[in-house]
Amino acid sequence: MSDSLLDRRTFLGAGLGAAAIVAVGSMASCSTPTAPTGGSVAGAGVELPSYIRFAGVTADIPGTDAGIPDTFFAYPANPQPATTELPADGSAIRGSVPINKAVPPSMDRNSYWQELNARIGSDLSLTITPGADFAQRFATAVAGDGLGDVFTVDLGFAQLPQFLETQCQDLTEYLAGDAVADYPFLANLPTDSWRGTVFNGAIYGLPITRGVQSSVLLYTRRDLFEARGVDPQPTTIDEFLQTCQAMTDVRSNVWALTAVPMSMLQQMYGLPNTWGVDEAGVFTHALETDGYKDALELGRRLIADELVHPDSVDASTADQKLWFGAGSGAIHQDTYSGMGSMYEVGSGGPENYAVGLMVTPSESGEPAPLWLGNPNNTISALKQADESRIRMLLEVLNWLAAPIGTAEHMFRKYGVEGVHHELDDNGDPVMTPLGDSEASGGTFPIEYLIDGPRPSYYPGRPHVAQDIYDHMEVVIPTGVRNPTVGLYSTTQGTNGGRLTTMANDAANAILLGREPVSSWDEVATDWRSGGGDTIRAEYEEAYAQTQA
Amino acid sequence: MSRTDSASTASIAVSASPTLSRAALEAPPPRRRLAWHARIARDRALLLMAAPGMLLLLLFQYLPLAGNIIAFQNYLPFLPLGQSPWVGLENFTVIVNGDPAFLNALRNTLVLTLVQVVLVFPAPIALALLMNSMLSERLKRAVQSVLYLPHFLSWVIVVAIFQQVLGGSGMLNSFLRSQGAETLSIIGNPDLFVALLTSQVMWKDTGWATILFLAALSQIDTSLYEAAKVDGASRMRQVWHVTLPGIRAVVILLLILRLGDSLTVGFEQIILQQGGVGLAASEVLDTYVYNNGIVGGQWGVAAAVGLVKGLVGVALVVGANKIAHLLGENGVYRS
Amino acid sequence: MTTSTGRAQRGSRHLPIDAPPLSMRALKAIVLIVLCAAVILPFVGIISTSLADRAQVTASGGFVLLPTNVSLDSYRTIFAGGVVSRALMVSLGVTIVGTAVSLAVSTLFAYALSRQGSFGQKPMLMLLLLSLLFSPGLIPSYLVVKELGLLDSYWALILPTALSAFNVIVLRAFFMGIPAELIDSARIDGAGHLMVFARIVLPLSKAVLAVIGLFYAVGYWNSFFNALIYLNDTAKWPLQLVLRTYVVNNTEIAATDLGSGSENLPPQASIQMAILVVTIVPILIVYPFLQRHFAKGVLTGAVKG
Repeated sequence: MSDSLLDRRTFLGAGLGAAAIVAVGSMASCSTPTAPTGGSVAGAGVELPSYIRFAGVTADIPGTDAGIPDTFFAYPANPQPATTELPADGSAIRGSVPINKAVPPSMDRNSYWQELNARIGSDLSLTITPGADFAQRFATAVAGDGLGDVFTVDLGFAQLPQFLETQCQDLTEYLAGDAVADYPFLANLPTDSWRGTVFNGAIYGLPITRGVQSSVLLYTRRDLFEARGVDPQPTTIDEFLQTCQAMTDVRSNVWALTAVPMSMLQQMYGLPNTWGVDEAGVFTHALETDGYKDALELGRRLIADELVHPDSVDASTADQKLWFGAGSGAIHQDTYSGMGSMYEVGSGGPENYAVGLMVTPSESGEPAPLWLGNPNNTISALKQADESRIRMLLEVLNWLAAPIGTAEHMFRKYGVEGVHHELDDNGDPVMTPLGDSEASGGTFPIEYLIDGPRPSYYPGRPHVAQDIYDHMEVVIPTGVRNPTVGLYSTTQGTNGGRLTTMANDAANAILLGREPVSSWDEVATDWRSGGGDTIRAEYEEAYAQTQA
Repeated sequence: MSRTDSASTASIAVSASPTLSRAALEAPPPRRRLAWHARIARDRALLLMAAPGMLLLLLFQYLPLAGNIIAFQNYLPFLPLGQSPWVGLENFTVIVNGDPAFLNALRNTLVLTLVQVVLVFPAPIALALLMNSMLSERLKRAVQSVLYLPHFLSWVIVVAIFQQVLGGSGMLNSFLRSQGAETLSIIGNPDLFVALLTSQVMWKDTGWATILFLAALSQIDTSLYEAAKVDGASRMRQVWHVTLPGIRAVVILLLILRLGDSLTVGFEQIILQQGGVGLAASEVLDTYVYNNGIVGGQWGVAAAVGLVKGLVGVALVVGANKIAHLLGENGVYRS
Repeated sequence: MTTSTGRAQRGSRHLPIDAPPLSMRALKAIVLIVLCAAVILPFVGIISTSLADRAQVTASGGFVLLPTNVSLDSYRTIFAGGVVSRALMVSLGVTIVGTAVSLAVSTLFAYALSRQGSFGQKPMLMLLLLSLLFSPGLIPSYLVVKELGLLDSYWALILPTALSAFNVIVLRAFFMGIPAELIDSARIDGAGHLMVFARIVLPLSKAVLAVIGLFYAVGYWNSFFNALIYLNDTAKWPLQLVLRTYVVNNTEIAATDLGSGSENLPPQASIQMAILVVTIVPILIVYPFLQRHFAKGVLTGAVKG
């Protein structure tokens, strides 16, 4: 009561932070976690940067045009420098980034950071913000012009195109088409990722790429399935239901599913990847389709039959993952990139702990088409400046985008050998305690200014990279894109969050059995009249222009 | 300041009158009306004492408060303050257009406020009285040192603890399941949501909130108890005639300030637990503003609702203060 | 502060309350035991989880009631790299300086506001009260701090929240409870306001000063928000903001998969609970010293002494 009043003025702040935590997981998500990405209503006409593949390093299994990333079973031996000069000119560079790990020691006490500065050729000072608080820090810094030279963009920022256009550097002349060849590691970023950097017909950002690794799938506790003698690969929806029943033992607090995997249930019924588009350029949202009601019906059944962890609705994804690690849930929905953490939550557990990847079952028994995730985690942008400074900053970012297998990458991620990491028998870097702290365990937040194309590489776990490759080989060719990736809708920016909250709430009410599935028609109608139709029209217009 | 000094002044204070009594709070006798500059000269010591506080108040409260003009704008954070497009009262329409979801949020807010004023507000007073009646000083301090601890846990942790105990896979239900009994749906049950929120608030902050009441209790002169005992008053009567009047002024002050905050109920606590019970049961004003304004970058709407909440708060404080005056109390200020 | 009054009082403590009937005492004891258990058990869980080893945390899915193997790894991890120890010093400094500034400003202000009928007293009180009801927005506050040149300065962690209107109003109410005769007679004897404030008002208000001091100190100690918004340099971060990066780091799991060797780190749940312990311990240490002043009578001692 008393000192809460001290904090009254920070109401907005606390609020945003809290909700950011909530937004991460909880509520059965109606849509993929796709943030509104780039593109624009006037997105036509700009030439995307040419894709020039970096040939200096060969993957153990090279990636495919369909999107399977380069696979590495070990870190390429003897990484060589791929650049010859210091990218920076010695002037101070200031950046803003979020961090999703413990904060590293500040520059004055951080040998990794100091070495990074030496290798770049300038002092790179970073304003670091905890990831959950980044949105509000971004909004205040925008208002106070405090973001620095180069910064991670909050894609949820409602007036994003206007902000980029008025405050950020138009990079079109530096990067469009073959101009990008000046920056070979930027040219090595996939074309799909560049689509998300285009706003109002110009390139305003640099992609932090994830490729197909942001796609969600169902993970299974292979060891638990084996112990119960259950096949972890059901092919039809009926089989999926039986599998879930076989993996549930309520009296010992074991449930098949850590949460209702709404995204996967929609994929089982072949729904569009959040949005779908037909030949005529007409857009349809997944929640408007009849299949959505089938997915709700299935989800409702899963809960009614007690096949889902009873505390899932308000739990964070982190909590749900802990249940997976603890074995109180045997199936968990997450992205390919989540694989590392799927093992992390289980370490210290059973000796034979093993994570499998389920090929999503479907009505027909064929693998369900996979929803491809957003190719970007986010984008970064540059403050407006004169040409020489912009070119210098792009040189630095180019250096920071050096791909796996180069000396630049090895240092950037893992620091100096013998100081921040050691190499194990397989040639994989193992972080030292100093590296864990100073280089954020391999995730120093410069990775949110720019990053190379994301490889499929799991240090110390070559079999995991193989498992992922085997899964991707089956499902990536079936991949369905979200046609709104690379398009921008203003109404989605201002009203999309509200509509999603509303639809999630209605979906939860149905899943939890408070409302009948038939009530969904009204929800869809409300969604359309409440802004869904406007968003559709804006996407259709933007889409038509890209097709023209 | 010497110790003897303070002790002797204190003893004079006690013999003169009980603390926080009404007599002590009476305004000083009316003075001759002076010209304003004469009054400034007369009170310049007081004005100097108030100056640092006023400076902080003006700089860090009232200056940024001017930023609330964005309530009348379609605010774009990247434009200088005041240069965003003006939209008149458009941001206020969310309040007056009778949106059922808004009215629902308002109703939930008022229900929660009512329950919390009735149940949560008196809890620390009762606890403070209970602790005050304990005979062992050491035990009393120990109990108090335990009960204030939950205040330091964030809502995320408090919610997690309740989940561990009462959740579907929590201790209670695990036990029931192992016994083959039916499980109880407590968390995520819309019918119990108000009760859940209230018990969480009480668990977290009751012990902490006793501190202020203990301070008030400590100001009561023990000689009053002795006098009451000499008069043959029972323990209950002592509480009624000495203890409660002794803390009445503080209780009323805090109650009025709480009423001014009527439209604010635990934002973070609620938004963490909205999924399971649904918006119909859990949406309150602040979460509504968040879900409908801030998420979409509509800072103007948030500012507009903030202004209206402030005005409602002013009305409630003025009203409650008036009632306090009618009951012969001082309230927050004297008119 | 005065210890003599404390000692003098001990013998007389039982005077106001005669022994209640047994049933009443039993009821009281039960209520208090239940309340304490409801608080202590979760805290046992918090401490246990912070000390539990990885296998046990993994097996339990996050929360451990009693650790089988005690491990200090979580605490070692938090203190590795020196970030936390440095932040601890920042937090201590900000809390000490901030509480001193806040108490000085607030008590002076509250005293001035308690002198009814003085020039400007009522408008100032109204301004103070209104500031409780209207909150300035985040962005305008940021702009003010920026214009004052306080960005990236420790003062940005103190000044914007140095004055709590709530605390001033409470202080004023207690000050007004001090008998007017006492103050008036001192005034007639020629004592200035500062003298009255220092010699009469403050000594008679130790309980509320301890409480308000605690409110301010805890406010500074717990706050991370000013630092989040106003600081660019992580070297100046206070403890709560540093620890926040441990707690809220689940936002993007994608970031973890390239980090090798992270399994050598203690599990997230243990670290979170260790963080709680680290933030609460300093409060536990300071609390008893303040508690003396409000958990027992101030005036009583003087009478009996």
